[in-house]
Amino acid sequence: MNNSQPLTVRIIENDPDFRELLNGIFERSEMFDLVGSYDSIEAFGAEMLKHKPFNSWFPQLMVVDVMSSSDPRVEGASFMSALRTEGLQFATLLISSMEFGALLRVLRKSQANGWAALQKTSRLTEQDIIESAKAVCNELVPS
Amino acid sequence: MNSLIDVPRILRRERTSWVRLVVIAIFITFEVYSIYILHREIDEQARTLVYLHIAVALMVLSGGIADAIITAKRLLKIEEANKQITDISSKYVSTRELLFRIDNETREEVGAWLHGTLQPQLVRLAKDIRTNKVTDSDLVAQRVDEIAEKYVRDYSHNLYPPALIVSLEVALETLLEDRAELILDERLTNASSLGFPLWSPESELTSYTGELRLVLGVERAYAAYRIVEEAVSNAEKKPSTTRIVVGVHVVDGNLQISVRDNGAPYVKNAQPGLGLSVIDAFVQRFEGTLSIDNVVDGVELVTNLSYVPETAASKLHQRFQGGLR
Repeated sequence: MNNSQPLTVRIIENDPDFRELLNGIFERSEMFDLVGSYDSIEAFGAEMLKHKPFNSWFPQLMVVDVMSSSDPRVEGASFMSALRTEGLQFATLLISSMEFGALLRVLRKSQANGWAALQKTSRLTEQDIIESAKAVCNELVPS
Repeated sequence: MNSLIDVPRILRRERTSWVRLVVIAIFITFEVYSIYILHREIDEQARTLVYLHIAVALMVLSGGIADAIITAKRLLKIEEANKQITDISSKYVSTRELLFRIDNETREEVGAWLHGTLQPQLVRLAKDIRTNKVTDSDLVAQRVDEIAEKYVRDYSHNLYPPALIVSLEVALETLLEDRAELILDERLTNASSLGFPLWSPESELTSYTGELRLVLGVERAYAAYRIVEEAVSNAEKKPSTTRIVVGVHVVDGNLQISVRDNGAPYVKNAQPGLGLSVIDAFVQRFEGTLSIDNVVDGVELVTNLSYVPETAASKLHQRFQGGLR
């Protein structure tokens, strides 16, 4: 990924307050260019289907709340993993209140790099989010 | 039951038919005796009438036998149905008792946690704010965070693990971390292929030759998770256990879960604890089997839950009709 250009970001987050917070953080950052923000995995999927071929529409970073669906059986981590298995290249920053240790281990079995996770707490700062986003994008920079 | 071989057994079961047959037999005996008496004294025309009587008597007899067989067959069916109803009722009663026990224990546990853990924390915080022990808003936030993260989140995640929504693999990895080894069927892992073209026209399902990912469904995945949770917890209760291995595989139309530990042998005919009753309830729910055996290096619990393998690809094809291209 080219660090001289802002990195494109799309956000999926169903909590409106937290989505607004994330939108603000990525809009303010000069390193990132927020190109889309969605309130559910379904809304993101519907938008995705309008933009074929998907690879030119996909951002360099997806920021995803794992449980961002009205359907409790649908979650974002497996969806992102499936898209990456199909060959789409993007980094993923997962955000949720769940423990991430096992989830990251499992996701990395399929794609070793480009995964990061932040646990939702009130102590989460703008700097934490930007630092994690930068770090996960750097994992996918070709050496 | 439909064979004529069963007729004697059927007749033995039906007393009314017996009585009817005895009456018919008496009637026929009387008829035969009448024929014997009349045979020598009556003319040809009257003899024809007597033969007609015999034919009618035989018809009545065979009708009686047929009626008895049909009635007795019906009674046997009713008897079997009643037996099945009794079996189902006793299963229902034991399941209801188990559910009642689990419901009670869960209410007791949640009630105790709300009353004994959460409420005192909140009361203490409110008191500290009122008495100005905590004046700094950062400290208040810190205390609220502690309650939210240390108590509420952990507790809610124990009640229903959110990792299970991602996959059984993630949930079991989380559950068994530093507790047991996990050997999972490759087709149940996230690393297996969806076998479904999500975006690229060239990635057709037909060109894929590897193992396709299987979907268990919410209920079966939860059952598998709970069985492993209870079985591992039981194995850990034995002080002699130092190693636990959990296997989850799809074998011959079953989801097979095995939990093997190297602890003390299993005592047969011991009163099953709640954990084992919970496992048995899930096994019954999926018409499965449960066995616990002492093996060479420990004890192995094996459950088989009925499962017709279904691929993620077939589900996605049903939903999206071919692919998200």
